[in-house]
Amino acid sequence: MISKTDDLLLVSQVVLFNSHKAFEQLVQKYQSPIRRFFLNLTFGDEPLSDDLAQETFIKVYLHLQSFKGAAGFSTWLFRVAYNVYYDYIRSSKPYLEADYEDVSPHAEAERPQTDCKMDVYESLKVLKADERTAVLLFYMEDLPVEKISKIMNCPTGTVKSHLARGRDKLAEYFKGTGYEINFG
Amino acid sequence: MKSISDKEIKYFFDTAKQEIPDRGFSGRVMRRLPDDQQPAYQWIVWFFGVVGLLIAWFTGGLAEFFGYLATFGRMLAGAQWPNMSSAVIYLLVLGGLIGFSITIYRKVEG
Repeated sequence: MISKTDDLLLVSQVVLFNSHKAFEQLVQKYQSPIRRFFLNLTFGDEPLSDDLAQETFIKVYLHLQSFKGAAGFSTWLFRVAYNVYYDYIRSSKPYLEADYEDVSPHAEAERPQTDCKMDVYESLKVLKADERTAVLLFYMEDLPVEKISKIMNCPTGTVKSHLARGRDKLAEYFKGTGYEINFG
Repeated sequence: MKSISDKEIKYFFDTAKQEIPDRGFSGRVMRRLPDDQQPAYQWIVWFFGVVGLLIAWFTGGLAEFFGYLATFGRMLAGAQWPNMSSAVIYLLVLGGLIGFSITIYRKVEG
């Protein structure tokens, strides 16, 4: 609750006084979850995910006055990020073939990555874009279905369907690769 | 199909979840912000400020307010100022309030 109040205070400072300092605090607070969200959606493409994250924050800055405050700033921020991602997909669509290859993973081979991260990126490739988004927001970002439905602008039933299909596909993927989840 | 529980998937993603260090990202975002962006709702502040002043003026509340301020100022000084008009005291108090507001604004803006 305190965090939400802090967000609203910072947002009001940006809207009323055009405070760059307040906006920078918002960016610093949310850069990690937003960049992580894009990093997973793009299968580890850091330059691309940083570009998308920058675009997200600039859009947020430009349209902050349209933030109503009812859903919470983080939900609204993820909604903007989701729209930025889908705008990117739409603009790249003619160059892409399969749905699950919506975003090119060309950069991932250039960087050293842990096995765990590679496992996640590989597993996410078997999901469709909507399933991937719902799965990441639910399991990685710990957001409830209600918030995900606001972010994805669809009914909660649709989000649950995406999650169920995603779960089935992940089970199939784990089975196919012989991957076992060992609880620590 | 092998069933997989929510708990297992959650654990799978939790192990890969990482905090991403800023490493200049916020600075790059701030540098890309438009310079001449005007506060979108700045006019609201001025609008309601002027409306508030007009209401106070017409209802006599403004004069009363400054009267109280002047009395308070005299009381603080502990002296009788027969030659100093209320208008001078108003201006001094008003100047102090404006200075205080600017200081607060600059502090917020950094």
